[in-house]
Amino acid sequence: MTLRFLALLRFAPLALLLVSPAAHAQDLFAPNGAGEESSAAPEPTPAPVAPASAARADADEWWRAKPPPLKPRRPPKPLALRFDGAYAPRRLFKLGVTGADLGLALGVQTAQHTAWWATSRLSLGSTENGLSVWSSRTGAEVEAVLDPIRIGIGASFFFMGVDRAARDQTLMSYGVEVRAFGRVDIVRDDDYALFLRAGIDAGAEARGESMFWGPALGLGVELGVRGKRPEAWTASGATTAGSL
Amino acid sequence: MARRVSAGVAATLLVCALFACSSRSTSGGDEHDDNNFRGDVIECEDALERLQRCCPDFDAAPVLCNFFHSKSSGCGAVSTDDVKPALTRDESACIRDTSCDSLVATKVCERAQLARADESHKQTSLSSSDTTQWTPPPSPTTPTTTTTPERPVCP
Repeated sequence: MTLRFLALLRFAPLALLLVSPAAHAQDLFAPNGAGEESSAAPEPTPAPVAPASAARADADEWWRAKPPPLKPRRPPKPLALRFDGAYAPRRLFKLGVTGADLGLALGVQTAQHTAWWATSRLSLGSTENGLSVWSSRTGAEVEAVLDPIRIGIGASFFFMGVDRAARDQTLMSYGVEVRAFGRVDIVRDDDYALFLRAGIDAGAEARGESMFWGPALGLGVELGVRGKRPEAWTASGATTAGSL
Repeated sequence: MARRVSAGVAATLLVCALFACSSRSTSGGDEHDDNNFRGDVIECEDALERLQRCCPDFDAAPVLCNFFHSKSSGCGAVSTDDVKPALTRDESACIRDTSCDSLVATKVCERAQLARADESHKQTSLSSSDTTQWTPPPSPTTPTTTTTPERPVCP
């Protein structure tokens, strides 16, 4: 019997080796002190079960999480094209010039009462005796929008030419021009506006050091290209035209 | 904001450059001006248009509305070349304001047909104040009977 007990003692170290990790492992998986050893020791503050499991759930289902809400996109600012034509008498030195003034512009309304335009204008005319005079201008305008009336100012660089009477030659000059104008919308629909426009242009021409100036009175049309004017911008809310 | 200011400054400089760059140039006392975008030239051209309308068989080709001015100094002399339009501003204004019938009746058409650009060449010695002036001969298209128009052409 004694011999058999001694034989079993030979395996005691091996048994200890096997039992010890099992005990640690039991501690790990029983954090609330299920094991005999941990029950004897002073217990640490038990961690709540639910948050740990919730964190694991979050970690596992991250792909289900909703993206942060996007800021609502601002509606694009109304963009429009404008064409207009006017009867435009001009004065150059002591000569009167009678002609037409044609305009093309692309504009955006940046605020309820403000619109900006990139403009290109062409004047074609002649003196009373038939001497051809033309000018081409490129510049910008800003309008105060007071539906249905608008008033504005603009500035442009310009080139101008006067054809000689008997020779195939054009006398050229250039300069800067400023203008003031007013506009009344006669018809306004969702995507267009028809308007009456009056203004005065004054150009300082560099080579002859003279003024090339005169009034203009004509009609125009504005076509909406993109966006609509917010209801709050319109006079009655009845017209939310795509045009400016 | 700074970008807008820069753009404004650039635009201002561009405008100044445009106005500064004309056909008139001066260097070392020499002058050169062949800019024809002038009141006298353009009003002369307008008068020619009227004469072509009002005067039977009026040929505007030899009646030049040109301007040129050049002044150069060298070798002890100052040389000046000037060309002025065939019609003065007063004559152009008169032609503009006169009816077609009157232009024919008062022989303005005939006198205007003979008008030529006023060309002159002047050379002045810097040591002595001698001045020689030369006026070019009339062009071959000018009738030989009357080479110099009566002035003024109008009235």
